[in-house]
Amino acid sequence: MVHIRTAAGSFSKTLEVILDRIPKVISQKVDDLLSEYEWTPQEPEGVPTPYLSTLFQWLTTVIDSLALDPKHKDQAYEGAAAYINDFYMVCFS
Amino acid sequence: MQVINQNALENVLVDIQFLKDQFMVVGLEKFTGVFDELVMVSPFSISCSTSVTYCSESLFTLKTANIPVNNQVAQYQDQRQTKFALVKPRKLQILLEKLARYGSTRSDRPSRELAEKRRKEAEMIGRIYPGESR
Repeated sequence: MVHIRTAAGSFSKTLEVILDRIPKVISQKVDDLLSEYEWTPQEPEGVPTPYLSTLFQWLTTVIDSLALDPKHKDQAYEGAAAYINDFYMVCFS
Repeated sequence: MQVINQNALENVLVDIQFLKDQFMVVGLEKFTGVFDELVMVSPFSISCSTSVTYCSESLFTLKTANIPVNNQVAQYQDQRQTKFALVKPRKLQILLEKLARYGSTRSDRPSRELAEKRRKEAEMIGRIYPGESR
C-alpha cells in the first residue's frame, strides 16, 4: 500500500515537472525561430514566414509524442498558441 | 520594437492565418480564437487595396479590402462595440504610433505624409478614449 502511494506520488511529481517544462521548451523554440523577424520589410512576402512551418511541425511532433493525457496535450497546444500570439502582439506594446 | 511598417503587418496577418489553418488541420481550431484580437487590430493600417493570398494545402485568401483606409478612426468609433470589440484603443494607438515613427524616417514624401496621418490618428484615438484599456 505504501509502495502504491509512493509510486503515485512520484508519478504525480514527474507529471508536474513535465507539465512545467513543456511551456518553457515551447517558448524557447518560438523565441529561437522568430528572433530574426523582420518588422520593416521592403515588400510584403505574401507567404507565411518559413520558420512557422518548421515551428508547427516541431510542435506537433513534440507534443504528440508525449505520453500524456489528451487534456495535457491540449494545454500544451493552447500554451503554444498563446505564446506565439504574444510574440506578434509586440506590435501593440 | 519601436517601428513597424505596413508590409510587416501584412506578413503578420498571413502568418496568423497560416497558423490558424495549421491548428484547424490538426483538429485544434478551438485554440485559434487566441489570435482574434491580433487579426482584428492589424487590418486597420493596411491599405484598402490590399489583399493577401498564400497557398497552403488549401488556398486561403485573406482580404482586408473592407477596411477603408481613409476613414479608419471613424469606422473604429462606429463599430467599436460590435465588429471591433476586441480592439483595445491603447493597442491601436501604439500600432499607429509605430507606423508613424517608421514613416517619419523615410525620405519620400508619400511615406512621410502617411506617417503624419498615422500620427494624427494615434493622437485622436488617445483623445477619444483617454486612459482606456491601458
